Amino acid sequence: MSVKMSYKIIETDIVVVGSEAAGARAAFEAQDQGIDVLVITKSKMAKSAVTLMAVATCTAPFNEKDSPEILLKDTIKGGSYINDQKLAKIFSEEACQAVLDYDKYGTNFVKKQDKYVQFQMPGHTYPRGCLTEPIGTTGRKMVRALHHEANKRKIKILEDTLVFSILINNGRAVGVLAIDLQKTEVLVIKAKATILATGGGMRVYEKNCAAREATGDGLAMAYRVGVNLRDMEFVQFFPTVMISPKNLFGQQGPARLRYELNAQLINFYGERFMYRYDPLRGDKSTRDVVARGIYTEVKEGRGTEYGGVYMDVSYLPDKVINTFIDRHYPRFNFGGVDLLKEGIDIRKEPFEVTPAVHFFMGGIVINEKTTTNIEGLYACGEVAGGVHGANRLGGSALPEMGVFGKRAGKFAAEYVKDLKDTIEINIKQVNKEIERIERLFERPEGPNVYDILKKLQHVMWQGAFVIRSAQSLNSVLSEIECLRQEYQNVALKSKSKNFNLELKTALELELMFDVTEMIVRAALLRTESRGSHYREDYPEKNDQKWLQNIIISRKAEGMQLNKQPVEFTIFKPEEVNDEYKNKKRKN
Amino acid sequence: MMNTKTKNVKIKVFRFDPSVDQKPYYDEFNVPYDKDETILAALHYIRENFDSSLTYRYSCETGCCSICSVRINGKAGLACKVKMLEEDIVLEPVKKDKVLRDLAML
Repeated sequence: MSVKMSYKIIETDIVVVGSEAAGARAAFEAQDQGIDVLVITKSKMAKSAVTLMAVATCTAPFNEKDSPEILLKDTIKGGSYINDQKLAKIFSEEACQAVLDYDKYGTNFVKKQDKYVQFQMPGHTYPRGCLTEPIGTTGRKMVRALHHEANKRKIKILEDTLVFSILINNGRAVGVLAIDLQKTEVLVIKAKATILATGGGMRVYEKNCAAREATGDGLAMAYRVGVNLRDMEFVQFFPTVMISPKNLFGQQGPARLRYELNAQLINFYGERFMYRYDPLRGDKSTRDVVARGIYTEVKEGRGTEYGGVYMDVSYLPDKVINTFIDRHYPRFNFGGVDLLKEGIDIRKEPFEVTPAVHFFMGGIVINEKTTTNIEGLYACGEVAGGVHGANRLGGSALPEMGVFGKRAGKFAAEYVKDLKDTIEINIKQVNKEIERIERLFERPEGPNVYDILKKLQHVMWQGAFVIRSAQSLNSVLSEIECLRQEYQNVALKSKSKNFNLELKTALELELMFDVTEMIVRAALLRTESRGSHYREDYPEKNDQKWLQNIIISRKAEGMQLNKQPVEFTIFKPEEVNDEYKNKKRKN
Repeated sequence: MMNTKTKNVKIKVFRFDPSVDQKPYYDEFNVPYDKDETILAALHYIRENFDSSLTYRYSCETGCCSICSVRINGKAGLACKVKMLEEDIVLEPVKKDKVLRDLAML
């Protein structure tokens, strides 16, 4: 049976793919310039994706002693010197404005006597983290404010609509191809400029603290049409998130007990294993060492029931715990996580923790105007790379979305205004993409898409997470290839055209293969350890060889990876480094 | 990871695809009981092991987004926060007149 799907053409000046912090901010800015803009989200605005999951803070150098320059230095040091310094500079200089804008929309950051209350996060020289009340709601308050603003502005938003391909004609981006999931109707979105604000791809890993939508669609779609990507080997993880009970999976608050109350990390056999990995500091080692320690214990079969380790303070007298809790977390409430209510009494029992994937530092190569190497295509937010280098400081994601979302909206609008000629869609490309969807509906039976997805996430977790080696990465590469083959025969159980989420997952999964391959190939090439990237076969940082970025592009012969020396346009590593050494000495 | 040593729980799920079905019906699945697992985990289990066409919304899985709201034995709650019950469970959309498909609402 042949399905032969028809399609509907929608025209707009600018299409923004992604509706949360970066996408919404871009849309507002473009609208302010009088440009027609259409926002597309594959789920529902303010009820999905990762912005709303930001439980911590939004960085901005408001403090009197602070300055954008100090934030820039902190960001470059945190990024192990391979950041795009021009982007990091813009980020530092415009972060305050981003916070003010979010606040203007109604985020309502906590203030005391007209000044923002700011938290000090690790790696930041001064307290910079703006936050909302109750603690842990920053992301949620932000997306609600942005949604409210979008409604007020009557921004056109297509929900439950998955963008799965960027349309290219004569080397220029001319819109996107999407599918209205509620009706399985293909939409050809013809746009003079396209802004990608699709976020990271944390969901390519088994254990992650990201929303279901974080499948990295934008990264793969961009790669497929010849966009350059960078730093894809750098995937940030949290060392300890709660893993059990399952309704608390991903919570980070209680894990603060490790350094705040000398919580012990214990494996299934009751061993305090961290002393094997860090004989001096043990449980209080740095977060990368702790993550590797836990990961190794679990991998070697000494993990707990749910694949983590125990975090325990119950060895302490109740009196000590009670005093600490009363002072810092009244009623055992860890920023919204009410442990006692959830049935966990830390005075009596441990809880289970695991490292989990949190953020993608890498992404699309952009310039100061958020332009990619394809004309008419812009990228902002987590889908773009460069600002954070090899690791991101806490609280620095939310301002990045605001800063570069705004820029994307501004510069895309300017581009549209100056555009003289009309744009045409390449119907051949449209038909080819539609055939992909038809094939999925036509195939009577084959492997289950959720099954392959689960295998891919597991393989990535096993071989391309906190500990990597040539051996593990090569084996992941061949597994990805096998799963890609298996995917060729995938079939949808239900052929219904009504909100078919198997179809959604199938289209995402196809893109996820490219995302995983980019991560693994870049991780293989980088024969050193830096930032979030750790190679057990090359455990040291190698500044002689590796003050470089890995640029990924698609060529006729396949995935190309090229090393490109970092341009130290503002600071040289020595300059930043010496300053921190002096600071330490002074302290 | 579902603990298979323990007993099974019968989960009755509301099914309705307005493009195909004349009226809603219920499907029954046996899911291993685990006191630490959530309703959402049970739905994932059904989708992966029994019926990949089962349709429900979810996103953050940490109680932030509320898109996974579902009626659990008549009472509305977040599938990612409510733990599995040891008794028979009936899962229905929060508003039956707004059903897009199965548990997913417009």
